[in-house]
Amino acid sequence: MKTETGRISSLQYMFCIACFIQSSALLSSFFVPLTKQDSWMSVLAGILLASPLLMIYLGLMRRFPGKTLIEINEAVFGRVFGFVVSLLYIWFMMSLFTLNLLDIGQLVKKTIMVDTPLIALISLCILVCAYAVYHGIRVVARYSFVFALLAVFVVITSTLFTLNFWRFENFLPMFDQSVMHYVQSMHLATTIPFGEVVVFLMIAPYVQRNKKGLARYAFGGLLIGGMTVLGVVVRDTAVLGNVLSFFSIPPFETQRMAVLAEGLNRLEILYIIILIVLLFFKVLILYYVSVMAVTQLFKLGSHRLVIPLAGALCVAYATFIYPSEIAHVIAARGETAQLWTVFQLCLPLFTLIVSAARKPPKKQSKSAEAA
Amino acid sequence: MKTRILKTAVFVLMACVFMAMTGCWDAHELNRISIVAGLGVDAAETEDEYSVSIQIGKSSQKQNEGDEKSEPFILIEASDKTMIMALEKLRLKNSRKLFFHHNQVLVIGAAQARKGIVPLLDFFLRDREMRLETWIVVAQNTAHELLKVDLVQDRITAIAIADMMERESKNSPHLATNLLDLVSALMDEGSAAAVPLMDKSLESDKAKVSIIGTAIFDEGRMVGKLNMTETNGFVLAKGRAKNLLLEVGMDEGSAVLCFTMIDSKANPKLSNEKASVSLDINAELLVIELKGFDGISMNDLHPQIEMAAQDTISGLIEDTFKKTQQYKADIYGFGTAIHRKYPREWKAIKDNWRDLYQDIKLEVKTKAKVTNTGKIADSLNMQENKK
Amino acid sequence: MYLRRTVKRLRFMYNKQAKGTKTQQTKTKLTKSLGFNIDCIQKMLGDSDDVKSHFFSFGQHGNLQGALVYIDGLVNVQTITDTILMPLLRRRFANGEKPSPETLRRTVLCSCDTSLYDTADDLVSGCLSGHTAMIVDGHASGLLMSTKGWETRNISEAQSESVVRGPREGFTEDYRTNTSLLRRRIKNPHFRLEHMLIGRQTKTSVCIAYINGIANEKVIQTVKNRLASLDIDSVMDTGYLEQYIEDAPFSVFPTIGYSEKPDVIAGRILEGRIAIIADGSPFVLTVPMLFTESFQTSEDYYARTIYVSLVRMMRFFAFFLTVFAPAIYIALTTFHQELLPTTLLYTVADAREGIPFTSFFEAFIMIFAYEILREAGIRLPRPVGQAISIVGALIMGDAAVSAGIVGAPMVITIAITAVAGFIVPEQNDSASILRLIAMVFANFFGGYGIAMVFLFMLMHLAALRSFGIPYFETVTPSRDLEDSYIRMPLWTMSKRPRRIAKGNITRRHSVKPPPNGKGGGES
Repeated sequence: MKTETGRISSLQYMFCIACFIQSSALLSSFFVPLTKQDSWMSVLAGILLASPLLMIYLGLMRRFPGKTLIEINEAVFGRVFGFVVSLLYIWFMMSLFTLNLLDIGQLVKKTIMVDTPLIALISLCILVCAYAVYHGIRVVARYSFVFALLAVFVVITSTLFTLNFWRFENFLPMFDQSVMHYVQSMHLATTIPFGEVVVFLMIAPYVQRNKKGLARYAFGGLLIGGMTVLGVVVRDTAVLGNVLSFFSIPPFETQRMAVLAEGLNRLEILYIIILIVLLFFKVLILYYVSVMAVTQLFKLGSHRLVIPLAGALCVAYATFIYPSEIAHVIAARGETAQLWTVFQLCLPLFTLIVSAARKPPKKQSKSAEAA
Repeated sequence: MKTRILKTAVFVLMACVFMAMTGCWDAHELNRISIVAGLGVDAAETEDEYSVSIQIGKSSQKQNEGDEKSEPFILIEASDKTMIMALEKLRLKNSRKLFFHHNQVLVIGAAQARKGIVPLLDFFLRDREMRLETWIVVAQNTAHELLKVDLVQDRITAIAIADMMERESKNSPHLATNLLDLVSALMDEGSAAAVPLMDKSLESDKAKVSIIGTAIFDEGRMVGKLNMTETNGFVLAKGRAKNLLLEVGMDEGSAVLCFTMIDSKANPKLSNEKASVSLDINAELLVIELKGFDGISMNDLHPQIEMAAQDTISGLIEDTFKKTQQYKADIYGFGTAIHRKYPREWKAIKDNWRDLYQDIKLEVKTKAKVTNTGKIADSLNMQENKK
Repeated sequence: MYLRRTVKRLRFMYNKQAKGTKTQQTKTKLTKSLGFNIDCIQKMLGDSDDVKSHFFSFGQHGNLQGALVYIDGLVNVQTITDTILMPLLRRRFANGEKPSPETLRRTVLCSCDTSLYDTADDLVSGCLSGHTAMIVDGHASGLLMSTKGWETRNISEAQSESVVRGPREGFTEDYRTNTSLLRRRIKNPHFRLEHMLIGRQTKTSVCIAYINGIANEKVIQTVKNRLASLDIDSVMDTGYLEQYIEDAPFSVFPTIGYSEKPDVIAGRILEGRIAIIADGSPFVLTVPMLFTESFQTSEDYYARTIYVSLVRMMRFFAFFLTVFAPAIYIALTTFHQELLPTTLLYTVADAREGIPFTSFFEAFIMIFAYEILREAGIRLPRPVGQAISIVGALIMGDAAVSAGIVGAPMVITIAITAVAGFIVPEQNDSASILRLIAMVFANFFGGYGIAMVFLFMLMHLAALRSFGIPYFETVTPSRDLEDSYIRMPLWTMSKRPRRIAKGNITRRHSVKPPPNGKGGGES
């Protein structure tokens, strides 16, 4: 009967967060049609707006060191209401897991494997993830550094190879769209790549704390991820210009134009494989977090039985969650972001306020504990 | 232990059956696909229909088996109301699956270009197999005729055309258009697109393809043509060109210069819905060939050549500009420049930009520098007479 | 429930603590009667004609009886004569002196390796190990004297690992020679050899070698426990031991390293590992093993930094190539033709004209042929073997292409795969299996399948542990990166690998490059 006994280092935690943000952002098609050539502003705004969110999460982590999100809910809200809130979070995490699974399946299906049924692609991914989740957080977070570095490397090299296509005039004119578009776009940019970091509250207790505390590592991860997203958006805008909003996966089209040498001008398949690896990592983290949440909520001794159940459930969920891919895209630009804000901002803020109200914070002893 | 092995065996067997039964869906063996090298679209005899020709490369083994006169490629044609329906008909004529991923070039026949190309481009942008770097070429007559030319040096005509475009684009990105440029130009309100124009020519009984100029597309229809000189004028105005030749004629002789670098900056000015553009051209040239100039040394000739080059460049650009004004086609992107500089005013005038374009005053300020004269300074006759 | 049993089966793979029971046999004690003792021993050993017994009398008037038992072929007869019989028979005993074997051992016999036993079983096992048993009438105990003198192979060049620069000595099958080879290299008094006998029938001498103070205590204890709990018939080679004590028997990757060269083993012991030497095997095991060890050869440390670093990286790339090259070729030509440049695509398409099989079967046939050739090349007698492998490979490849069974690009790919496989010999077996799996998945899922196989491999390597030490440790950034992808200069590696060594971690005290050669003799 094994619950999580592994520990990861703070650096690994930071790169986990970075990799998590980078993987979803390399698709980046959610907010681009809204702000077109000013999308880089949305990304910057996203990073800035995500910082207070991160502060809320860090506040919760500091207040309850050694407790995961589920346990925090129980401690703050009591057994019954805490159970309800935790159930909501579990639904959130499972939905995120399913949606990202759909993402990776549809990406592969649309770009390289057109005829393979979606369920075959997803099942293969789940099987590999299940094996890693079974072995715990040590294996899951093992390659975060490598993957994050890989993402940064890909962005830098693709920028270099498309440098002769860059036109800085493509960034003009600025502020051409309506204000509502900007607000919507910033909201989307905050929620979808950056706000999903809330799930890392589940992993926080397993990080070996050193004296500096987790804050600088969390922000470090946010910055690395955010800079990568920014780089991607800037590169796409500079290369594609006004065609940017035309395509469903702009970075893919940019990559198609990259020319390495005379004969090697079709590198997008390498990009796709690296994208698959990064998305796989995100799916892995979400799978792990969902499984741990269920295990802790229902107080099961070990998470081994939950793994195949959760996997099968989410594969099935993925096939019927949206009637078509177009519905997925429309929902992602609309309701999904608003729903996620509840989980990313409202609920944690509420938890923090209630916990502050219930127990007046003994700052000295608690921060000594957290360090 | 036995049940454990049994259960493992059952699991493995189930996995094998699962994979084997459903098969490898996306696998296309190389000898089961036809690699399409070029695609041509013409206007069919029936109104509203496209006639699509595709050029497929034949494998060299099959080529050796056939007689010597057979072409190294296969050209098949079908027509229908939409692109995809025409391609469906082509599929029925072919024993293998058509593979468009290596399609290098899209040739549009002149008649079809005049009718309009936006509807047929939709397929190219939507389909996963089409690439944005496909070169676009307009044929003087029909695309089918152009693709049918059997060149001696290259096996497949489409690849030869693509190589030509590739080489031209290295001299200047405005000499060759790919799908991305075309779409970008078409999406811009008010801009027109410039696409290379090619024709088939006969030389001592052997057919060749050659570039003869540029076709101008406005709102998706071909509205005019530029010959090679005017094309040069267009490219010089857009800047970012090299290796272009400029013939400068003066009283005492003529010189042929080559551009190593040309930089152009367009400064639009908008006042009371009247637009004027001042174009700053900065060019560096080399002397490639001198003819005449007896008795003059290079030192004296140098500033004269520079002045003459400046005048020639300005003249060329202005001539081309006037021609585009005739066609009311803004291939230079002045509209986009005004949009960037005066975003609010642009919204008001963008609908009658074409009429405004006709009245634009173009002011060309050229600065030409002759930096190098090659291995010798004075040519033979010049040096001789100095003695 | 099925899941529970699956869970139990999976637990079998990791951190298995084998518990075995040893059967205790009752031993036969010696009596004071010489005849009885010798009878006992001979009955145990049976009627074999190489069991020799020699009765002799010694003492003042030949009134003391004694007997020797030895096995011909295992002993050096001259040693028996010189060290046992000569002193005994030449010595003048005092009148009435009845020396016990204990006294004889200390004062009379000239052998320095003697031990006293009082059960017949011990004497018999001693005889079987090349000792000579001596029994004196009137005493219920016997002496075993070391008189080993069998034929062993000379210390020759190690066959399985060849180097261009570096020592060429290899271990032999003799246990004592092997331990001496290690002792000669590590003259540290803390270097310990702990001996045990394993195998009911073979009673093989096995020893654990480590440096006390550097090796990890926990690992030493685990190794000792696992070896002690082994209840097996025989130990023919250290390979047996490896399979009984390893951490993950169903994993494709080996978790216990081995080598045939003493300098390699000594180097590993100095890094804090534990060596297991078995009698009768020239291969010595080392525990724990990391993945990067398969990519390190002893020559790496004797050659210069920059070149060696390049070769190291090439080895990693070669391993990747040998596992994934056929799979990548299948995926590229079947699923992702858009990745190939156009002219190359036409060439490859030409090559595939007229071939009846799918790419996967083509590759499978070629891989199968390669494995056959490889195995046959090992089994063929030496003078014939090399020629036939080369000729076979060339002709078979050429004929296959002409016959239209496989295409030329496929032959090239498999050839590269095959040759790259030999760069990392220790992982060759795992590479073969992984290659097949990658090919199958490439055939069904193309590039996505290869990506998934690669990720599964990474996850598996991350989860694998070798005696408690994570297997994939030095490949991902951690503290001990100086010796993995590249080899940093020797003078920078000032600490032993921190994961494996505990205790005395410092190898040397300075991280400075060698002095620049200034001064001394220049005026």
